[in-house]
Amino acid sequence: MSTLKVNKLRDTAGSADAITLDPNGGAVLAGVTTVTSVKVGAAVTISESGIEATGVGITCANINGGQIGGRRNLIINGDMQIAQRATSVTGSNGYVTCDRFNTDYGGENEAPTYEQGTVASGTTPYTEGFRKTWKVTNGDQTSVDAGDYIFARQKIEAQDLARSGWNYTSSSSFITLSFWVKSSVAQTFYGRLESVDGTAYNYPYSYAVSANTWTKVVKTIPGNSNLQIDNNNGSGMEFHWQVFRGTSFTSSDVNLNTWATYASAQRTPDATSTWWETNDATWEMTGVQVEVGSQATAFEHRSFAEEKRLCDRYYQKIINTSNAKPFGVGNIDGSTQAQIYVSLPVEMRDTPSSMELDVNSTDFQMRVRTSVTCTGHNFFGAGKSNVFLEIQVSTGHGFTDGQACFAINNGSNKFIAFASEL
Amino acid sequence: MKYYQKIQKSREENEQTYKRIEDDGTYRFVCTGECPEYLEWVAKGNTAKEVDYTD
Repeated sequence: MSTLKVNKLRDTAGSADAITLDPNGGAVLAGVTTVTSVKVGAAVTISESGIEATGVGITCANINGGQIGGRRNLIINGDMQIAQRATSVTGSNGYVTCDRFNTDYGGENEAPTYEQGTVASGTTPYTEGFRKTWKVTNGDQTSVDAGDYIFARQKIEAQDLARSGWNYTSSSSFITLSFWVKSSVAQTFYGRLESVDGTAYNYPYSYAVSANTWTKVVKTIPGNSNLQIDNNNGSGMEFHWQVFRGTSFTSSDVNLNTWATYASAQRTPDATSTWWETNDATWEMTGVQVEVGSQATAFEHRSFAEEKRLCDRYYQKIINTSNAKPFGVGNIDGSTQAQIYVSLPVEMRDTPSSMELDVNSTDFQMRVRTSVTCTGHNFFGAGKSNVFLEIQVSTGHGFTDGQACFAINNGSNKFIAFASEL
Repeated sequence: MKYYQKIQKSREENEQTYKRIEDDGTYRFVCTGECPEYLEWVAKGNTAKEVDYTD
C-alpha cells in the first residue's frame, strides 16, 4: 500500500480544480453535479428518491423558512367539514353554510344557491382527505351590470395573525395561501386580501381554471410596511374569493400580486363575466390554508371535534336532537317569568351580536318539580361565555318566586344559536 | 324583502337590538348593531324600521 500525496486534482483538459484536498483530512469537490446516491455513515442515504435516515432523526431549524409542526393553518374550517347553520341555502347572504365562510351577492336577477358541497371520490382533493366544499350554484342572470357581484370570504381574527410569526411589515416575510378550486366554467378568476386595521390595503391575485377540473392554487404573499394588524379580537385580514364583480368594483389598471391602498372601485382588474352569465354555473373550493412562510405545505387536517370548537368561538348552536334538551338553569322571577342562564361551552370571540331562534315559545318548558309550557321568550343579556334569557310562563303555573328551575327545549330539532362573527 | 326593525328596549337593556323580518313576515334572527349581517345590510343604504309598539 502506498500513499499518493497531492493537494489538488484536475482533469487534463480542465481549467479548474475538481478536488481540493484538506491537509487535515477530507476533500472539497467542485463541480460534482450527479451522483446516484450518497451514504453518510451506515444510516443515512441521499438518493434521487429523497433522504432516508434509518434509526436517526433529522434536525433542522426550520422547513421552508417557517414553522415545522403544530398548528400552521390560520384558516378555520378550511376543509369545509363544519356547516352548523345549513347545508344548502338560496336567497340569503352572510354566514349561511360552511362555518367561518361569509358571502354576499348583489344585482342578481335570480338568487344563487350556497351549499356545503361534496368532493367526488377518485378526485385528487378526495385522495388528500377532503370530503366537503364551499359551493355556489349561480342563478339565471339575464343581464350583467356594473354593480353585480358575488364572493366568498373568511376574516381572520387580528390577534391570531399578529402573533402568527408573519413579520407582516417586511416585504421579505411571507404568508402562503393555498386552496383547491373547481368551476363549471373555464376562465380566470380573481381573489384578494384586504387588511382591516389602520388604512386598508388590498392585494389582488388571479388564477385560471379549466372547466370541471380541480385546480390547486398557491399564492405566496409578502408583507408590506404599510400593513397594520392589531393584537385584538377584531378582524385582521379578509381573504376574498371573488367569483364575479362588475366594473363598479374593478379597474383595468389594477396591478396583481402587489399591495396597494384599498379603493372600492379598484379591488381587482376587470373580470370576465362568463361565469356570472352562465345559468346554473358552479364554483366550489376546499382545502383552504393560510400559513406563515413562502411555501405551501400539505393541508393541516384537524379532527372534527377540534375544528368544531374553533368554529364555536364564532357561532354556537344549541339544538334539541332528541326528545327534550335542558339548556339553562335559573330561577322563577315573579309570577309570570323565569330568568335563565345559558352557559356556552366555548367562550365566544366577543359578546354575541346575534341570536337565531328556530323555536316557538311553546317549544320551551320550564321545570321545577313539574314542567310547564312557556308562552314567551326574550333574549336580554349576554357575555362571552353565557347568555341570559327571559322566558315567560302563564300565571297559575304553581311555582314560587325565587325557586330554582331549569329550561328545556322540547321542540324536535329546534335550536337557539348565538353568533359572534367578524 | 327582508328588512331589520328595531326592538323595543326592556328596562335592563341599554343597547338597541334589531329583528330581521323574513319574506314571510316572521322573524327568528335578533341582533345588535355590531352584527356583520346587519352592518352589511346598512352599508347597502338600508335603514332599520322603527319599533312596532303594537307587538
